[in-house]
Amino acid sequence: MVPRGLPSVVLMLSVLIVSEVRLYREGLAELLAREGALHIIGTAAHTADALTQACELAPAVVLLDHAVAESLTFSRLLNQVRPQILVVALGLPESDDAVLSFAEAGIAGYVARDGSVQDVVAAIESAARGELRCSPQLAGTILRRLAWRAAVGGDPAPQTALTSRETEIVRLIDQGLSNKEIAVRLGIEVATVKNHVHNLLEKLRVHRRAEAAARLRSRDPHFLTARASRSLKD
Amino acid sequence: MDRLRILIVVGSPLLRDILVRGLSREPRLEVEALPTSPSDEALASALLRHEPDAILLGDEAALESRDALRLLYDHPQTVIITLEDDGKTAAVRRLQPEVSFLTDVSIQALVGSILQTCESIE
Repeated sequence: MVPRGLPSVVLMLSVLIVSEVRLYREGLAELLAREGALHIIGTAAHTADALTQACELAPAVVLLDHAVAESLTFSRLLNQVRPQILVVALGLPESDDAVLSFAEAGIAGYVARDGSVQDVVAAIESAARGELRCSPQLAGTILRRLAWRAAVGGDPAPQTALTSRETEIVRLIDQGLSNKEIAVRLGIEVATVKNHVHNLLEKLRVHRRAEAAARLRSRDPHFLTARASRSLKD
Repeated sequence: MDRLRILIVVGSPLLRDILVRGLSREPRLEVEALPTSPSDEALASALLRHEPDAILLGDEAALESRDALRLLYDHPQTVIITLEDDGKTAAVRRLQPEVSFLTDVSIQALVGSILQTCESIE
């Protein structure tokens, strides 16, 4: 309840619309702007532009046309670098594979291909409440997928944290430096670098140096943000 | 001048809402929309009922060229605009026979095309 004497505050959900199709981009912006609880803060035609705008404008929700090139990669990256921003996928085919692929990429909601404007609004508002609007059939599929993952050990156990030195070495590995070059850069013996690399591979439960960098990027939203942005532009 | 009657036949509710809202902003257009993607018979019936100056067909409702030509012969005064599946391009057909293509389709482009094509017939 708002205390008497204070103005009531309407919480608007800020939305960034991403679609390569101008008709959808502009049309949705106009239609959704009429919804009292939504504030359209931008539109983007490509994922690189969308990532830049998302990082700068920090919308509550990104409404992502699933047909945009690299939409899955975009969703995954945004989830890593700005996990607080919710992604709602637009126009998904109502197939388990399609929805699960986007779910694994980190979407918070979706609108089926035959959805209406009301469905878009409902999906955005549900995502903001931490809820998912989906068919009972899809809910069952998600539960089965989770059970299967648990059975085959698909989800890694919590890892031991890397030391600051190990993290530093992963960053250098990610820059393409060899063990010898890392040793020179840090002023330590090559054997010491090898020990650190061995330990960090074990902690991250990976076998290759490149995998270690990739794993750290997926665990730390702030790790190599600029690189993530660059990779979409490239 | 009478307003031009536009009939929208689009399967996607979202696209239909966008088109109806966007085209209705133009005061020279009178916009009607069929609620779902109709059968050939239902479409023919709707054309007789509404007598549109232009019909806008979208995604799964879009006609093959041959079907569009038949429709044009049955309704020679009607302009047929078909939105392609990618949502970015459209074909504008009239009984000249003549086809022009729009790229990077926007509401403004659709309004301009409808007005230009229909008014040139009158």
